[in-house]
Amino acid sequence: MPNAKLQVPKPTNEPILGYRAGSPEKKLLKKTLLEMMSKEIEIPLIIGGKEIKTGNLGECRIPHDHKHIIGKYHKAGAKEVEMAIEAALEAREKWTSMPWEDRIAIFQRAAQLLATKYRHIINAATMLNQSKNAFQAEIDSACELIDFFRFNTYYAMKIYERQPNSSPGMWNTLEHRALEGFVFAVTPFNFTSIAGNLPSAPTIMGNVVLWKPASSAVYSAYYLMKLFREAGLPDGVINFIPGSGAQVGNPVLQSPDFAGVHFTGSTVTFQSMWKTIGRNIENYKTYPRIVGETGGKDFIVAHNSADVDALRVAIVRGSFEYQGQKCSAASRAYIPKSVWTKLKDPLIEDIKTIKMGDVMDFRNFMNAVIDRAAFDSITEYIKYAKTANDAEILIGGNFDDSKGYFIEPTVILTTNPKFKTIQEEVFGPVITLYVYDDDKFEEALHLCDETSPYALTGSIFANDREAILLAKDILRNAAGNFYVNDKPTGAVVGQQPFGGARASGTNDKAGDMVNLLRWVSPRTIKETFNPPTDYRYPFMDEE
Amino acid sequence: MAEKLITKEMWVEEILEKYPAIQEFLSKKNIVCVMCGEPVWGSLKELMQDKDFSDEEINTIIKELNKFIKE
Repeated sequence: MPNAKLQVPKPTNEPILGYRAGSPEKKLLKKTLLEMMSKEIEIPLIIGGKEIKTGNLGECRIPHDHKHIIGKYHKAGAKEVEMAIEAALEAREKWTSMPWEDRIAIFQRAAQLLATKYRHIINAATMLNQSKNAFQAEIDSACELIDFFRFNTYYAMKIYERQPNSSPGMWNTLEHRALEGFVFAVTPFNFTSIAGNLPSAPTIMGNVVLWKPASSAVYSAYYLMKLFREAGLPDGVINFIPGSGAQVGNPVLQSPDFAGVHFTGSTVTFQSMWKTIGRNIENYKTYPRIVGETGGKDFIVAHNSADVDALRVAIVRGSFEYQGQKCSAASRAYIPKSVWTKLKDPLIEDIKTIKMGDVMDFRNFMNAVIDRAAFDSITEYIKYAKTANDAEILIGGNFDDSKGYFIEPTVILTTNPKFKTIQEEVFGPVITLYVYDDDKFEEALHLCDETSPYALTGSIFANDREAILLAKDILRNAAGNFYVNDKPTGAVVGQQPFGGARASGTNDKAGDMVNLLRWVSPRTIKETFNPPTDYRYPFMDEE
Repeated sequence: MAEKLITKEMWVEEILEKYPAIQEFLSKKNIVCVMCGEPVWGSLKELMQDKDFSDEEINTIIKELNKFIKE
């Protein structure tokens, strides 16, 4: 049916499975977890569809049981990067010229496979490799990634539909070409959905990709690679090259065929990559697209008209779900005195009830932080707060790495609005609170706006509409995702396009059309049906 | 001459893998080498240069680091 004008089905968000006691999805997930825990897999690089083993091995450990190794992965170096670039460029011609409907069909199939056959596999891999509870894994590695595939393919069709006007006698068209070269996808540990989205979004638009997953999340990334291949992705379109950041990244950024980077990770790393790209700019065949989502110092500001119970739940869920390791996690809050007197005790009581431990025990709200380095980094901040004169640990502050990297949900109360942990990104289960005088709401908003270089997510809690308006105004540039009476986490594809500005990134909204436009280079084509045959214009007929 | 276990040209990720305890040491000097739960890319020298440490300061810190990990 080569002449059919196809329509990509209008997507809706993937329903979240409940994993209630006795449910079939819970039984299957637990069985898969046990199976995965019982063996150790070997993870090769996948370049041009071939499995490559370098012998330079890294380990996939379970963060909540760090002596337990579930996989060993081969690390790429400069030689393998070179091979991956060659494989990608070789695959490029066929992939870019494949009818867009067929490219899209592969990712529609990936969505369907992930919703069914792969759902429990990817969820279990995420739970073990990244220490996520069943719900956090379900909303991330299943639902959000399915949404990315379905919404991005739909948006791709919308982009291709967008065509310019044509005057009589001519036909103007826009061709949304893939970038001339390859895209480098660098993915984080904290969301398997982002790990899947960063390589697939440019691929949907016809690009070829080198994919370096976070070293601490290679295990789940490998299962995603299996999913892509089963969905029918041709060899060489996405090349899987785990390894050390600099050892993989540096040779990639030196390549003249480097055409773009799709990154989620730290601000320092992103800025370092940007500088390298700048230094190499004369060597590239095309100006690279630089798309990155980095850190955050995400906030909650409460007004004295706020609903105290809603605020309490937002602090607990927003700060401590997935151990505070979401880019969007609340890590500072500004609370008026009158609210604080009502909030303090219930907040402490709520946090006392939080259970933390192994992902196999579904009663656990929290699990472990990702690895030794993260554990040390987060606990350094807690130790600092413990000894500071201008702060106190209100609850939590204990940690234990004997079996897993466990850190208690921790609330720091400070009298210093520029205290270290209210300014710097901690990336763990730690929130710092600052209590302000009720009549200084506007001052608190300015404080919130000016305290951190980041601008990813933030919330205002208020029932007074004037207070909401004022917060929206003063905090206009303080967050790319702004919430009113809701926690600052949990953005849903197609509903709250995600991304921040300032030091938080280029704000190219993951899972939105805006993002996909970064992966194409439009060509305008004008075809004239009956071109002029005389250079003279009619006005030249007489003097 | 004492063997240097850590050099300024080494990757941050590589050093952290071998000597995780240096993170605490560097953090006290305001050098953050783990962000967003992951080691930053680049060499230790680049990381310190970004923090405006002079060549002399960098050399001193490297000496201190080597002493620290031997202890």
